[in-house]
Amino acid sequence: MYRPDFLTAATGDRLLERLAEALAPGHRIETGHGQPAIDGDQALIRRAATSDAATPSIRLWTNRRCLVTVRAMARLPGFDEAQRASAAHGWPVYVRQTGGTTVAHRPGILNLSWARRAGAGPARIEHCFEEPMRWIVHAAGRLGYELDVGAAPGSYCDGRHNLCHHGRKLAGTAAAIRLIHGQRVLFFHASITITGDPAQDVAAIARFERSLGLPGDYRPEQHVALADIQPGHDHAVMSR
Amino acid sequence: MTDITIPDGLWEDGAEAALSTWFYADGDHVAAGAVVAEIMVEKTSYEIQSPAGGTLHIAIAEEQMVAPGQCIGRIS
Repeated sequence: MYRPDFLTAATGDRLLERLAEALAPGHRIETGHGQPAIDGDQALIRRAATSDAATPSIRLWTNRRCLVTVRAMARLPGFDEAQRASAAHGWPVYVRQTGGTTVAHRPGILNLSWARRAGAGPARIEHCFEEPMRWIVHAAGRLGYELDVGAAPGSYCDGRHNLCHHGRKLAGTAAAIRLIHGQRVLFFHASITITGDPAQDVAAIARFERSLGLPGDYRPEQHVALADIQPGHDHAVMSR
Repeated sequence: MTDITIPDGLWEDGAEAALSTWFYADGDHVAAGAVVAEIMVEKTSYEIQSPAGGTLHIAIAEEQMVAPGQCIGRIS
């Protein structure tokens, strides 16, 4: 893939930190390890249930290289064997509690978890996505990246609320509405590909899902990393 | 008998939803307010509470499609 001259590996790594800073100035990026990193979202949800509803609770975090699938896939016959085979290829498989299909985690992917108390009344599913997606798009825009929200047909874990650049997917998202001590909590998660080769993520996911008897028929060209997008000229100059 | 129903207005028309998990088995005793099931609306999970305490009677199996307002089980 064409990579602009101004982007070296070092600047790609810095890009993750710059996006995190644009999202939540001063917020620490957690470096997680496998399932405990994923399960940290449950603590975030519990914390949000007892926090001020006006202020969302957030986590910015990265994980070691792994695949993260959903409970429905973990119940399929042959899951244990598929999990072992994927791990043998360097992609251990863990399970999350939100929906969708399998995604990749690795150090070049920034995970963003967001939770807000919604009170005891009914909550609409769209509420989980609207505010955090606006927040991400705005933060990326401050760095000169014009991103939008929509589907990316052929991408892994596709949905209506992907973070995209000209129809190519940078981030998949998922959400949950949880009930904690009578309080509804809106939860949102995004895995934003900042650096690295999304085609390798696609290949690992496809291999794992095919070993479960699923199609795993994804198109690598439907994915893109933020580091492979040239930001708007004015912002690029400002951010160097 | 008290119906366990999926709330109306939870998602926009046209979105696909499935009953992803029952957290109790058919015939189990559940407490009022207990989270008994999870539905998955596209990529969003939503927990369903039991409206009453009693014995759970499952009407919709896991992985079946569901709609707002639908009864997925009963409490006797």
